[in-house]
Amino acid sequence: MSRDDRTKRRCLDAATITAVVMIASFAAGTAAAEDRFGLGSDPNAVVIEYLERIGGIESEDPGPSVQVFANGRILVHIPDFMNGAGNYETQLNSSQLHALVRRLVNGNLVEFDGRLARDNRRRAIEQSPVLSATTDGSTIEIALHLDRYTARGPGALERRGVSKRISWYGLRHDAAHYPEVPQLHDLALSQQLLEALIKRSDLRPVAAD
Amino acid sequence: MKLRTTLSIPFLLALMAPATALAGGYMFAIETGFTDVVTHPSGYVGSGGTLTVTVCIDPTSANASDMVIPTQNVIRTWNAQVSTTGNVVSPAPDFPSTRYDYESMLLHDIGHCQGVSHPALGSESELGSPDVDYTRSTDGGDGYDLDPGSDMLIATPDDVRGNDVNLNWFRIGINNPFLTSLPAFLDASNFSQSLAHLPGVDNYAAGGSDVVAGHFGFSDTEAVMHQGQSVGEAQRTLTADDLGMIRYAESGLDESDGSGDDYDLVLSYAGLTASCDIVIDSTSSGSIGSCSLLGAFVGNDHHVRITSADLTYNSVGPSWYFNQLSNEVIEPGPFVASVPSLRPFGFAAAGLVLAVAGSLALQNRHGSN
Repeated sequence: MSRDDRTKRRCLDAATITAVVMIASFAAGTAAAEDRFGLGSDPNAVVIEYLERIGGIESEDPGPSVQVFANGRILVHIPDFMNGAGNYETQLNSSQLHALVRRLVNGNLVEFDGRLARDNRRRAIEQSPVLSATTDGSTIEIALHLDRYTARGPGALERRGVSKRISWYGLRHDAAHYPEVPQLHDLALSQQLLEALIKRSDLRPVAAD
Repeated sequence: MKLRTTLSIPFLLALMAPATALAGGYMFAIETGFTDVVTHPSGYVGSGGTLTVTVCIDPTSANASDMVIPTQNVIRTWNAQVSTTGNVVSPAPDFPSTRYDYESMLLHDIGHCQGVSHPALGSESELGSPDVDYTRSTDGGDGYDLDPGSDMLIATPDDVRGNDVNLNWFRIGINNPFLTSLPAFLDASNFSQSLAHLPGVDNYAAGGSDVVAGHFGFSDTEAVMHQGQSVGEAQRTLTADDLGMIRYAESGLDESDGSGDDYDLVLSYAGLTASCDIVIDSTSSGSIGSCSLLGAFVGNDHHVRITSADLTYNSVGPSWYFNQLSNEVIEPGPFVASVPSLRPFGFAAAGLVLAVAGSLALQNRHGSN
């Protein structure tokens, strides 16, 4: 390939890249315009955190965890006591990242009211003809960090710098036994979404420094 | 009611420590709102006699064949009702330090499936470590009051717990979960959860952790029902703290020994089937081991019978060790006095103790029969 050919090729590549970027930006902009949230400009900022504290164990490393960054990077940690122990990563593109956050937001994660959920669970327990309990359940911890967020409904104001943290013991049991509590149903769906990140088939080991 | 006579076996007597203590709690005490609830195993309807609870392995469970021997071991261990000290072996000599011991997990969770709770608040309190180790209680309606007292040790008798309602049962006048004099029976006359029945100087019921055991002078000892299994650790024999709740429940709905509603609980292995009282199966996520229980009131609002018990363990996440060494065939045995530390003898001694206990001529668990 001559120098001219290489120059032409580079120009074509650049034009192609520019077009792709423009299309992607438009798509992202369109999605952002529809979304009730926005992510910050720092690509290394953590947007989503998920940890499952495995029930019934004593360990300083309590269970599998996930971090999702604003640039779409997913970082998964599996403790030493588990099969497949190690650190893994994969990459979401912008639309995939926004789709993930959108599902969490639309699943009412930011609006989750732990006190209300516990009150509703208590009422469900009191009204149930059957006693139910589980032992040594896991505790899930979810954190969602958004640059901006607007709640549903007319007149809702946009909030900036929203961080939502949720912790729940025995979620699988509670969601299964008290389906009449909508908060638990929503939270369980979000938990399943985040747990699926740990089991993605495209995870690859994080390269050692 | 079974009549049991006692044989004199000098060797066993030599192994026996002078005494046994008892404490612990019941499942459903929080869920029902009745802090003094007593939970009975599957099948108890208020009538006396032998209560057989079957345990089986779902044949579709992962590692089903590897689970047979440790499951049978656990059944023998609960049936023998031998209380031990020095029951925490870490690192365990028979498996890699990177694995969890299935038999130890199962010993704990079969306890739950019989109705016994953690003696501590546990992770279900949604507290963090080390607060989860405080003695099991309610939060008094205004959040837990957690003060370890002057010794700065959690769950020891000098803890100051404010209005938290104690859920741990203990021998009246005796607040040492690991060693006291052996009672001929346990019922409301000598077993309580009322703080008014503590020794005069004590503030609160003691828990079952290794810290509490150390406080009372027992090393490498922890109640099996205390939450928290460590990797590379084996805990295959019970402590007195684990046994008290079974013994007390056996005093029946009237919580009085020697009456017609007393029962003797016997676990029985039902094989590879999904049809039994306590079904063991694997899952692919969640806690390392868990028992999901359903229950119904029996007799009155202070007694619950388990109606369903499903025991699951996470076969995918943790790396497991399945002990394939039988702890010997024994019959359901008596509640015998504490056996001193097994640590110098390892698991062989534990099996021997269980075997001897099981082959003892059987004494009546209930005093008046």
